[in-house]
Amino acid sequence: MSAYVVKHHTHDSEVFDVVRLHGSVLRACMAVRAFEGESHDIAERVCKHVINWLENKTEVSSEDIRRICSSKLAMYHPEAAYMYEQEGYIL
Amino acid sequence: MLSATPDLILSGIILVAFLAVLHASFQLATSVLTLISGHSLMHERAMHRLLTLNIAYILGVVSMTGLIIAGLSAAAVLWLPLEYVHTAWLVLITIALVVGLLVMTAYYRKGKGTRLWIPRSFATYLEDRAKKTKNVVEAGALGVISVVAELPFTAILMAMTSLVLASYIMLEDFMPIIALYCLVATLPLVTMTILLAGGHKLSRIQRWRENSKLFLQYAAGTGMFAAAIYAWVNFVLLGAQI
Repeated sequence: MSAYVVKHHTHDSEVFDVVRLHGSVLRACMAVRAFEGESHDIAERVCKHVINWLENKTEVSSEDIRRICSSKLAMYHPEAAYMYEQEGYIL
Repeated sequence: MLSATPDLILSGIILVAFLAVLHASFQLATSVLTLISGHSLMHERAMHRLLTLNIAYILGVVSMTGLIIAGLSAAAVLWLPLEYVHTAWLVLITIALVVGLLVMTAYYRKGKGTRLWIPRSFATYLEDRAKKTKNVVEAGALGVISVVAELPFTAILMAMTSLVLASYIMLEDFMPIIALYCLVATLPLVTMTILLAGGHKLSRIQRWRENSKLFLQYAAGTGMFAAAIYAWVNFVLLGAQI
């Protein structure tokens, strides 16, 4: 799995970085006071879903990743999914 | 200072309190505090970090707001001749009407979230700074920057407050009135910090802000119109008769 992600604003393309996605989900979970262990667990599960979704794709947009990640995160923690969706839309 | 009647002084204080409420409805400082709080909560000793950074940020906002009003008031006392006070009111009232219209049409960006009018590059800069804020000095400085960034919309409120102070209030009463303004203007920030410290989720606060953004936008816009009309009646029409 080595899909490329096209950034929404700059249209630059880069290799999908699962560590970065894990960090974003973790931040969203902890911002709504999920426990640290629970947050890591959720982030890991969500990342697995996203990796599975990326399996047969070569290039996706960052908005696609955000949408899929948010819908999967909502299954585990709806409040965290809301905060994840709000990232970049608060200010 | 003009020879003001007690009624005119009371009108001035009421206007200052109303302007402070309007100032409180502007959301840039609250958005930055939301970002700081979100990042504070993911660190060790989250509550300690949340409280110290938020308090430092609020102090930064309070001190910058107070300094701007005190500076404008001092400038008005020193350099605004009494015969030009009514002209100054007319200019400020006109600007308030224009800014009120701008608030109603351009304060929030369309779409989801609570994205504001500020240029995207500057919003990104503020977001990055909020994420990188680790100590109280940085948080305080971010509070100062937030006040400066919001000035295109809030400067008129502070200018009108300063003109009330310079025209109708005794010099020794400046500080309590400036303190009252700062207290009311930062009430949303203080409330948010208390709610978060009390265990409320950031997502609930952000959801409320997102759901209420149109209401806040129109309330602030119409409030500016109301303040302009109030100032025109009390300080231009009635003030001219004194």
